[in-house]
Amino acid sequence: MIAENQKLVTIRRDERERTCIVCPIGCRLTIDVNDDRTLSVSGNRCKRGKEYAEEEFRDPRRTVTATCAIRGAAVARLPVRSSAGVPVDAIAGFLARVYELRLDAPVSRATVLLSDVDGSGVDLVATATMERVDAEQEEDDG
Amino acid sequence: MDSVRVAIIGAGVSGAAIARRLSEYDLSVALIEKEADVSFGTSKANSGIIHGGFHHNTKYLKARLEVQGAGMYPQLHRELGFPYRRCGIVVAAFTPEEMTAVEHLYRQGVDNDSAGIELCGADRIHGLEPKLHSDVIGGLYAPAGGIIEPYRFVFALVENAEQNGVRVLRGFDVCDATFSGDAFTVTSGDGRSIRADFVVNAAGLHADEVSARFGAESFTIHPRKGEYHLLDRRTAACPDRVVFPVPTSVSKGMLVIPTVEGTVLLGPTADAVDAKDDVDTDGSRLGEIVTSAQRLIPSVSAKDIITSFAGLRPALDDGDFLIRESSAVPRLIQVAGIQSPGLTAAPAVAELVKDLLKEAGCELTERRSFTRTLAPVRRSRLLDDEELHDAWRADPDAGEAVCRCETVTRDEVRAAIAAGHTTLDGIKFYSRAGAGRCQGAFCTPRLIQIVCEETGRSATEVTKRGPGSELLVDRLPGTPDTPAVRTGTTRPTRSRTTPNAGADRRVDAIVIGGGAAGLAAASEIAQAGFHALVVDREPALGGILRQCIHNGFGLQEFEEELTGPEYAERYVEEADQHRIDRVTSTTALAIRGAAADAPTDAQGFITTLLSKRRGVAHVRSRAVVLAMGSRERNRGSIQIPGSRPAGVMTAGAAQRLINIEGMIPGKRTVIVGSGDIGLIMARRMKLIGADVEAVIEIQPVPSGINRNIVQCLDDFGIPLYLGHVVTAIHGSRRVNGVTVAPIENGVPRTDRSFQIDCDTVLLSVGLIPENELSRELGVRLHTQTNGPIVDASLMTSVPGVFAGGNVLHIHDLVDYVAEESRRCGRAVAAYLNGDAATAQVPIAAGSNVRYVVPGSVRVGATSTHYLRSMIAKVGAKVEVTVDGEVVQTAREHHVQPSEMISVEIDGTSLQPDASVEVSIR
Ligand SMILES: Cc1cc2nc3c(=O)[nH]c(=O)nc-3n(C[C@H](O)[C@H](O)[C@H](O)COP(=O)(O)OP(=O)(O)OC[C@H]3O[C@@H](n4cnc5c(N)ncnc54)[C@H](O)[C@@H]3O)c2cc1C
Ligand code: SF4
Repeated sequence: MIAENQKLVTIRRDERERTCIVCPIGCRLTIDVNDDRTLSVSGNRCKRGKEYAEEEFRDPRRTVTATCAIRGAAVARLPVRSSAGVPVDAIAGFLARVYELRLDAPVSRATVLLSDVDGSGVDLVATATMERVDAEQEEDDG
Repeated sequence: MDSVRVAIIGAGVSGAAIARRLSEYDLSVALIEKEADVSFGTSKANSGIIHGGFHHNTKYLKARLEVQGAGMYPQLHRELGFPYRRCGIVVAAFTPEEMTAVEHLYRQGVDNDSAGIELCGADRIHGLEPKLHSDVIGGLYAPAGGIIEPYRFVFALVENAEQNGVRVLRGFDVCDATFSGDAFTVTSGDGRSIRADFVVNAAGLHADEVSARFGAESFTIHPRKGEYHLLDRRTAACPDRVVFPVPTSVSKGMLVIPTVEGTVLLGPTADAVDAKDDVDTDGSRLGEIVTSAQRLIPSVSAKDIITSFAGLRPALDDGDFLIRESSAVPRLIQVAGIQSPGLTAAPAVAELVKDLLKEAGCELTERRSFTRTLAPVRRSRLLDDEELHDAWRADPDAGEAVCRCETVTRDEVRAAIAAGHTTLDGIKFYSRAGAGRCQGAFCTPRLIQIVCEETGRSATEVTKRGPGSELLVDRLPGTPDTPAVRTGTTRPTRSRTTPNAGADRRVDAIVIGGGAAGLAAASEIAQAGFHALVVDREPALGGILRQCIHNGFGLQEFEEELTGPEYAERYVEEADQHRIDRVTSTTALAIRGAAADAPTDAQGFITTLLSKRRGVAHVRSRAVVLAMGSRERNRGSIQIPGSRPAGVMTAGAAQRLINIEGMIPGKRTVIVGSGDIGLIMARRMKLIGADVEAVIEIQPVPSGINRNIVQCLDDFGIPLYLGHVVTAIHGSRRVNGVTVAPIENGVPRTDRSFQIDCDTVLLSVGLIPENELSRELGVRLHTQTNGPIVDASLMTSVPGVFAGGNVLHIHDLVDYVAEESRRCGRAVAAYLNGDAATAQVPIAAGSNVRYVVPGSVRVGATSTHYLRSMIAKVGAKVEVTVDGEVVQTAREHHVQPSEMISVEIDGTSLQPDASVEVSIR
């Protein structure tokens, strides 16, 4: 089941080595920083690989998804996401803010829970709708 | 300090039987157990056989007690109602030499007065057990032998003893024993003490240590390990009787044992071990068990294994039981060396111990009010619809299915807890919740919640089998301490449940499962003007997507990247628009076709639903859509040897615990399997602050997509071991590590294996379509996909029954699930309209193609099909041939086994007798 014509994907050991994730081929990219601070990228089969490498090198970002504590809903956690990519170095701080939150139901999907988190320009958004479940019903069900 | 007349140390089957026997007398009795629950030692992991009285010579005490004990079971069963069946035992001989050995056994049996024992020729033995290998030439039959559920027997004995005044002290580890004045003082590790005039040492594997603590005679208990496999109830290999091979000089051999619950046990092995807590399973022995079992019953298949486990026999040097008053310490009765047939002999052992106590001076007068019988334990699974509905009337919890594989309802779990079983193992033994084929992947989070609600404990205090085996290590910030107030039966989001669903209802189509597949199919059915009813056992619609909080969904369908809950809500909203009927927190228990001779307006299907709100209800429909999704393969499916500690769970169960319940299942994780679920969970563990030590993948290539390798592993520096396998799990209560070995030429190189420390093992080793309902309905399943075989309109082998989504075959992307299920919904509408079926031609899976779904193409139309490639390749071609000639070629940028390929097959000019094949080159 191994592709005869495809290199095995192994773990990244070296910052210069990246796997392109733009398409499923997963080219192994080698990135060199030139004297003029431009990048030389090799190993890519198409130009999207180079664009990816540049972005990953200059300003890597990730969408962050997590859950927040919520009271008065049917479950204890509300799923949330960042509205855009969070710079990778800011992810820990972003998560810390998520975990500090204590929300109360109801919350509807797409509600901005925190805006411009730590000046990143990225918001924290609810990804599910949670209605309020009143205490009496909770006890009935218990 | 409390004081009693008799203290019994050890609540295995011996101690429990003695306690129950003594409770018939006017006597204060304490039953002391070091573990968190009774029957957690040798009595939980054994063959569960009531022996036939022919394996041992009368010179042994154990032989006499075996025959006497076996004879007492029918009455005990009537009184206590534990699972017992007198199914008889056969010993199968393959050669004349073996037949000679069998004749010896027969003689021994006759000497021991084994009731009804007989010798059999070939015809007789094959008549008694038709599943035997055709090479069996004869053997022996002992009709008095049978089977029980050993822990259920112990639980029943203990419960009945408690009813009659016996005090049970759990978690009482006898560390010290003194004799002062005229009584013993027995002290536990946690400082509790009890005084007793007489002591019975029934401490099983630890009887030698207990004897030493009393300063009594010294003897040594040698643990001898027996390993087993448990087969799913679905196996074709379930014999009518217990099947033995001809014994060898060292053991009775490995057997095939039907269980009262309909599963099958294979085993046991017999290996001397050093440690009294070494219940690790061993990979090579587990392989031998299957081979030996297949020799007796050829239809045994490793595919049906749901779990493997080991137990330890506490053997003395001479191989016999030691039951007598201590020669060194008067009033201490030794009950040691109770190995096989200890279960069979237990009632007789109790009888003997009672006599010994009397001889030692313990006066016994019968209690005037002895309660001999125990109320039967209700089993929802075994009730018919009417009985279950009545049970629900009496207790609405009978309407809530907690364990899906064994249909255990919430009231049954509550009963287990009320009877003192508060660990997950205890609850499993009592109620069978978690004992089925998914081995707790589905019900564990629910069981933890119920234990919290019933006992007031916090979730992190709930254990698998007592202190040290906690299931969860922490909570996410802000998750309440006890999950008690957020029962899953709360009002679903914007639900519009139908009034009077309790009465028989009639709809055009019932859709079983409200995940992406069910919702997509139902929307199409409703859009065509038909009445669809969606049923889901969860309180909210959306299926597995609700717990997949990460992004990566919907790129194909919506061209934007959604998280699982967002994708699910889009579908729920679409269902709302179509005003689709739905019932949530409702389990479909069975679907059956209406009788063939029913009047036209009553034809179709009747689905039995169970819910807390309405009990048992029936829905009639003309069509059925199967959209039950999938379940995860678990440890049993891939047979990882080693111990069975807390902290081993499927990735999906962990995902639910983290994302829905807000718990932290562990702090140092090893993930087995590099599929997308495993990779996503690796990142998830990191983001909740846990370490991920490694991802272990048996294949030389990862099975997840590149993006996940990069963003879930590389981003966090998590090592991925390709071509490696976990050869053992370690840790007696909670996992403390795994052994990993590289694979070379397809086999693990154990000489190059290494250990990784961890407290959690998450298994991400594939999904299996969930087809129990389909199977029971008579739907034919595909050997490659494990889903129904469907025609070009996604209709199964049962006309009117359709399937879509993961129940049909495992999809990599939810977009494909939705697309396929929309097609399915349209086909249902066409069926309901009475559109004439068009001719179809089957499609063969050709070179490098694992399967094609649907596996036929409609003549005169173009249709969409999904394939799975067996190879990974850049720049591949998908070729369609008709009668050997290539008629269609599609270029694929890149193919790999984990990614589904979609092809349109043009059948417009097909002849009805054409032969069509799809290949990847
Ligand atoms: C961790 C993880 C990551 C994933 N990542 C991605 C991704 O990034 N992108 C992507 O596109 N896909 C992803 N998938 C796949 C995708 O989520 C699934 O393929 C899809 O959701 C399956 O939908 P389904 O409706 O077939 O099954 P399910 O969602 O499992 O729905 C089946 C429903 O049936 C109910 N049910 C079953 N039996 C009964 C019964 N007897 N009575 C009543 N109700 C019953 C169940 O409770 C369930 O709600 C991922 C899956 C997982 C687990
Ligand atoms: S470089 Fe181009 S071909 Fe290679 S993985 Fe990236 S997108 Fe695909």
